[in-house]
Amino acid sequence: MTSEYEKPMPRVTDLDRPHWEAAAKHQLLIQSCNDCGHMWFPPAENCPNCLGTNLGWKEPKGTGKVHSFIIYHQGWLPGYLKSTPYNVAIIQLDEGPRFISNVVGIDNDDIEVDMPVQVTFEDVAPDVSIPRFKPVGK
Amino acid sequence: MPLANVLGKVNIIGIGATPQGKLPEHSGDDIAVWAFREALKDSGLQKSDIDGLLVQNSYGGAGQVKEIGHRLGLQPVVGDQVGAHGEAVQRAVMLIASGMCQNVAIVYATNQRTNRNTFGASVYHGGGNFDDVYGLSNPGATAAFNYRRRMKDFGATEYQLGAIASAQSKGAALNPLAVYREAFSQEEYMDFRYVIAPLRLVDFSMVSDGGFAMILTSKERAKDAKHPGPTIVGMGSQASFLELDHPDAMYHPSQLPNAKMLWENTDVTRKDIQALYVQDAYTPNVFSALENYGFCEYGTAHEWAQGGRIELGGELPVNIHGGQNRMSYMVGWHNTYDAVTQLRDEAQTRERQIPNANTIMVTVSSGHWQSTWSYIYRNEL
Repeated sequence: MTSEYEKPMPRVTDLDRPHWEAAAKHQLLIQSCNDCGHMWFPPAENCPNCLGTNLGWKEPKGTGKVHSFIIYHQGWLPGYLKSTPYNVAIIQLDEGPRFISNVVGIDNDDIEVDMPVQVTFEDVAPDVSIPRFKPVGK
Repeated sequence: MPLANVLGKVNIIGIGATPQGKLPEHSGDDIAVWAFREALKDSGLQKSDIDGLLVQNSYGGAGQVKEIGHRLGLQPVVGDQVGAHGEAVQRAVMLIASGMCQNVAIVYATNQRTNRNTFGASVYHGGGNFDDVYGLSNPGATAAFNYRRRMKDFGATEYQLGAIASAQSKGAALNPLAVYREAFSQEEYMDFRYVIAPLRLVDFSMVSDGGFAMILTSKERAKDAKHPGPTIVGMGSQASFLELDHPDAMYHPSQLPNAKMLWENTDVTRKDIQALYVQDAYTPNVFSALENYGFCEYGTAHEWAQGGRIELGGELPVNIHGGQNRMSYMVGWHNTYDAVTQLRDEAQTRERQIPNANTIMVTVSSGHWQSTWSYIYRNEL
């Protein structure tokens, strides 16, 4: 457990509560459509594919690739101001959805586009864990 | 042709600009009125001639059409809010070509420099909560993601990206309206600090105060205008809502169908384009536009743009006013202003005038995941 986690915490809403409650149990849940099977991120009120409202949650394998990544040398968000340089990555999950996250367990200089990654969870407060991604095998 | 009823029918007969940079004595709405006043004077029309008013709002609450319309003392046939410069031009063309309006004023102004907007907000729709948790902020992030992907896909380098900022700095050095006027080389570009790597400070739009306004009318009426101005002879449009979900999100996917519409409906060819203006809030936008509009092969713009090709005097001068990183933050409005200035052979100094300017292209889009508009302006009167 990180003793003093200063970065922004999830402001949990009814829409994304299942995602964050699962994350606290170290499980990655992505919203999906019970009618057409489409998966997407971030959570929404209806399926953007078939427009259905019979929605559920699926657990992807948690593996994917770094579709792209950037390094912040300047911060705007309180809590991240002292963390520069830090990375933000677009994770392309193997199941299709893209997920904004951070790559951990590797120096920023060593991150590569298309690098295989897998989800890992950082416990930041009691009952709050953040899904981040680490290189496969690390 | 699908656009036959609107292309070749509408001219820009008036342009107005305020100083750019810091205008701390003026509210955003003051600046809007100022820009409108300048455009009206330039057009030679009377205020009562304006029967259409389209205003783009700005951060901080400025630019509400009801407020601007009231301050202008107007009671037009149409008075509407628009969300982008490209939308303003498109609406104006439709209103005039349909006959619903005769003379449409389009206006944008902001004092967000004075208001200290820092663009730290969420990057994409619906992602706010998730953006913050992961430290994703500033819309320049989308362009940084784009360029990182281009480096992997096509071997582009950071030095090659510097061709854009360097070219625009040379243009700005000649432009009295530009806020930042020091020219720098591509080598000097490499010394600027990273903001969101791989992008450096001068790859980002500045934040500045200022305003622009234009007045459009039918080509028929333009014949008798003080400045007949250029005619709109090409138009493209493509909305974009898929953002990160689009498979080609890294390569400005709304531009490809936009380009198809543009080129299939005009007699202008790429070789006719004497200058190109790309809304460049972040410099990688220029490479995407060069490829998607077919000025070079897909995946080659970072090579194609080297060696002065996009500079004044080059094969295709791009953003010769300095762009959003050197001239002013004006979300595309400065592009059309400078294009019309060039087409009227009225560049502020002769050294920045495109010789025999006749046909110029302007694209409008705030970023790689956003909607796109494009226009070709040609002197016909």
